[in-house]
Amino acid sequence: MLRSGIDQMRYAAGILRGRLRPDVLTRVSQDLVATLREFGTVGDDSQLLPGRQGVIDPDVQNTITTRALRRTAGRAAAQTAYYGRLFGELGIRPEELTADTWSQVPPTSKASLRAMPAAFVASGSVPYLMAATTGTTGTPTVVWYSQGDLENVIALSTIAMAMTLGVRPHDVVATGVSSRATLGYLVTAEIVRRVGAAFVQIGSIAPELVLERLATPLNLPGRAPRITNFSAPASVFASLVETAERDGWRPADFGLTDLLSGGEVVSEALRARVEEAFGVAPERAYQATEILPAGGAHCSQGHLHYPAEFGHIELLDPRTLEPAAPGGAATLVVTPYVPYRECTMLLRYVTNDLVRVPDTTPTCELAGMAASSDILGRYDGPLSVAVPTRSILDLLEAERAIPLPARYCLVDEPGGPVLHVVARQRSARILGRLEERAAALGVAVKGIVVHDDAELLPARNTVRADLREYSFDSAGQVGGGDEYQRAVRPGDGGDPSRGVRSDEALAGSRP
Amino acid sequence: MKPSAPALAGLVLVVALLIGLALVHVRRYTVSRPPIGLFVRSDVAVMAVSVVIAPLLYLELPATVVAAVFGLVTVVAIQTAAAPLLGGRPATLAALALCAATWACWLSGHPLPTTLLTDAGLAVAVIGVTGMWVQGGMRAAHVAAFAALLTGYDLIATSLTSLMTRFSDHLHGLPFAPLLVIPGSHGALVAIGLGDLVMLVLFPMAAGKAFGRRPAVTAGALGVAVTALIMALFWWRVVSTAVPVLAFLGPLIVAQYVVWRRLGYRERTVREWRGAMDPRAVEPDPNAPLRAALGAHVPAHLAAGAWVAVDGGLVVGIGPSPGLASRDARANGHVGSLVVRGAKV
Repeated sequence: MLRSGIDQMRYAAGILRGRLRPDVLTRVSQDLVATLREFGTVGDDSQLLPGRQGVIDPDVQNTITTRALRRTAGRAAAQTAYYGRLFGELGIRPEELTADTWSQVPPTSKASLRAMPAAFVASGSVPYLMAATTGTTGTPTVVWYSQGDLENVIALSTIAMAMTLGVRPHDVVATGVSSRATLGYLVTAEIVRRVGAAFVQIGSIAPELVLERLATPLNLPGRAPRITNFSAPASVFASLVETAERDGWRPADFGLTDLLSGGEVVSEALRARVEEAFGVAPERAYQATEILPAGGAHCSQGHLHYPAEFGHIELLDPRTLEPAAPGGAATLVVTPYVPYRECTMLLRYVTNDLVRVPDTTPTCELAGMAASSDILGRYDGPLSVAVPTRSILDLLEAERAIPLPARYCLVDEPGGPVLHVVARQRSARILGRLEERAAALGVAVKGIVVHDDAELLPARNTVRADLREYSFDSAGQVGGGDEYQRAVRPGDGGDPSRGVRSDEALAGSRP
Repeated sequence: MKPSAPALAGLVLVVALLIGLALVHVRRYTVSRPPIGLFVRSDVAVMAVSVVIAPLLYLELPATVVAAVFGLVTVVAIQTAAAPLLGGRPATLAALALCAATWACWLSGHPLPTTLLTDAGLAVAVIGVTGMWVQGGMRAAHVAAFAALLTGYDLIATSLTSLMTRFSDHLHGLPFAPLLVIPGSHGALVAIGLGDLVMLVLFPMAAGKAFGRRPAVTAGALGVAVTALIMALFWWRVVSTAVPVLAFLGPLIVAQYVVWRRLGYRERTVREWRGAMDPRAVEPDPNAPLRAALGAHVPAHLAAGAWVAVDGGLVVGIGPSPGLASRDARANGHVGSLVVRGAKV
């Protein structure tokens, strides 16, 4: 108890001084795990734990933010080629920056990071792990992590997983992320080891195989009878729901108690169907390889909240990169702080993740933290703002005539965008239901075209579930794998006229 | 000078009362604890070192300074004990009021009220601190280790050297002295030191948390018996000076811990204690269902690639994969724990 108190004080002192020792943070996370094992819950004042930020006086917060920004900008300018050159050219002095003048620093685009990852690596760091994004939108983005960075991410994630997801030693934790998602795999495996639970790497294999693994009794000493915790991207959950519904799996066939989905938009419709299929709705988390350990947590009112401790979050208009107005669409622009991140330095990194700025000040349990709506999708032009991914998924994933993960594309036509979507069959009834629901949800499309073959889509949407790993397991041949394979086969144009089409503008079509 | 019988009996009664109150308090009220952290071995080491160093340090300090330090500690300890009953702020006010009254009585030259109030504060403080330790995750093993360390120390400090006698004389008559004194004894002083009192109260609580009601009651009864025995030794004049209580109590605590463990009691965590988990519950043999599954009669016609779900040695589901065999068993109405194995092992 005494040592734990000293470690917590050393952690707080390290944050104030800007020199965080990863081993101290690791011990704090280990103490948390031991505390949960002994007591079942944390003690009083848990908002004092890392990442559990309570309400802070705005002036104090401003001072802390300014100090963190100066420290981070100072390291970036002094130790990275990209920011050294940029600050030199613009005459920006890191030690003079404040939270209010932070916009002097030009935003960093994903393209800049992709073009030369080494230019963002601090010369005083020792790069250890090359973490790459899955690259479903194009070339993967590379972010180098030092051992210290990785240790910080693991320790903070251990705290988050033990607190939020309630992972305990009895649990069996499985992941359905691609094995190429090295950072997520390493972090999860290490968290599970530290908690004392059991770990199963399922990977991104056929959904029939995933269901098989989840349903198989383990019969291990001291462990739950079957896999209890499962994490995967939303599209993997979608493919699992599709397969479970088709093959007649029921919640009682599994022993799942906690699900976690991240990396893709999780619609409310999908959450409901996952709960129906597995008996538990997935928790959501907002994290990204480029900005860790900064990220977001959901509150009971559906906001996404950002702890000020790990990074500076700005909600900027995606077109102008100026502060977005209340109620308006915004892209998240993130600066992960030193000392949590010391290898790849990113200042005002434009994530292209779209959110909406709250109209009013939140009054939820996380009201002390900056907030936005949940992630709406990814910004790739005005169309993505007018018809964000979330609105399309809320429309499509509730419709059982549409195979999951939903295959669709938006085509900008004169008069407005047209949504092309793959259904199990072309039918006027399906189209009617979609139109009705689109109008009710305010999905701003001019019309909907229903196809019965993914190859007929004018373009295809790629999702993480497409990052399939092959397996020799015969269970993968059970069920409708062929249909899935057809659905994910690259479409190369096709003839939209083969679909059932409605060009009438939908009433109330603004999102 | 022979101590009076009522004073000796009174001390035994006070000890018994304190143990009883502490057991009720720790069961009924949850004291505040920090968000993370629990009692670990290093805390025992720090406590042991503190116990050794503190008297030596206090002897070098003016008695009033020592009294002030103890007064401060008493305020915090009383607040800890009273907060779950009264609430945080009223508990703080009550602790401050009690300590202020003690100090005022001493300053105005009223020794009897000073002693009574010091005793009351000490009693509440002991209940609060020991309860906080036990609820903070202190295990019976920690208490046993602490007792073992203190046994040797008490022998040296009380019997082989004059350390404890000098320490007692140094603080005699002061408020917040770490000595529970039975007032009105018309003979030799009848008192028990804070360290002895802490161990007498602490082990029944720790045993109750770790092993359950019977070990707690046994520990409490043995503690009272040791106190009574020592008082009897005074009455029979077998001893006439300070007695190292822990020389008797320490080995008894260690012995109890060993006996309960030998009897198959497993130390419960705070969570298990709150959940009233049976510390003697025998974990089922995890291999038993596997052995039954291995011995199950599997229909001969099943191909080598088939899988069977077994419940209690009976095949209750068949499938082309483990998951599907398990699902088949559930479809057949078997909702208990299943073992899945290949048809040919």
